[in-house]
Amino acid sequence: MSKGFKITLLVFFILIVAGSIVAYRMFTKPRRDVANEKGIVLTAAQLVNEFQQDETAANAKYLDKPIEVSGTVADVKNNQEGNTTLLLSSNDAMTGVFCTLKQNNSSIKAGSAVTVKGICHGMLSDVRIGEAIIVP
Amino acid sequence: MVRFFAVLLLVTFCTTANAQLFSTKTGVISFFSSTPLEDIQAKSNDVESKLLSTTGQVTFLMLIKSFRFPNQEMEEHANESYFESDKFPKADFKGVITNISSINFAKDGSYPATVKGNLTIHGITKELTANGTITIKGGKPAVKSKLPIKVTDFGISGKIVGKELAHTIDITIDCKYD
Repeated sequence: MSKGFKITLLVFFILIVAGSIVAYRMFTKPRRDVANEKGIVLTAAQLVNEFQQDETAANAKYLDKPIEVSGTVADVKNNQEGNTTLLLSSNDAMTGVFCTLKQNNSSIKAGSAVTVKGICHGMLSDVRIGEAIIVP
Repeated sequence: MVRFFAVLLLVTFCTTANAQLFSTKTGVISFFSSTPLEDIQAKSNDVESKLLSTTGQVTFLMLIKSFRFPNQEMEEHANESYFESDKFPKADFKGVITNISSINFAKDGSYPATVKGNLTIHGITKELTANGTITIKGGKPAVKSKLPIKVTDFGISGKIVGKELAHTIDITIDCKYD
């Protein structure tokens, strides 16, 4: 085996290993977990108010960000997958903050005061928070 | 007596009128794209939908950021590269069920439905017609439909189309109403 061929083989081998590592890391990139992130702290009423005032500005500020929102639970339901959803009241009876919890929680009842941390997805009828956890 | 019947009529009218608008905040929409390079799928459980049984008007509204992908890398890449969800956070459909008169909301069963309307994704609106089924159970409807859409119709283009993202992706709707 010539020296040139050996070097080529070595380079080729290194490239394959490096490529595999990059691909492996891409596919095993850990799922984002809000528990490890510091949330933007505010009340459900403040969050709704900001979206109502200027949705574009609120989207720029909150979209995809971890939000730690506190408020009073107006409604507890399950979505079609059986995950617990909470609607937090705002100052406007027509809208609120709609949170989908990552882990089901049967201890929360309408009327409870809660703090929820999750990722802001934007606003439909309500401001939507997903992948949420209850902050004790 | 007349007043009594007038009130009764009004009450009956109001309650039936109420029962004709069905809605959900937690409908499901998913999409599936398949190319030789990779399969991409994502699902949202946060779809708002309304269905008016008298006129057949139907709306679906969702946030792109609520799509969950099987892995983080795919999710970030899809939001940045083809949905551009920072710029276009919402997708919606507004339409009419054209054969609404053949659907009996008072009788349990499964009915084929055709809907015609406007779909907006990535800031671009297209008119389309889709087929699906409406299932009535205990007076409450559920809608299921699968529609193929061409991504280039919605301004999603570039090198990725045909490679990692298919030219035509399938959108599946599964909404149960209250």
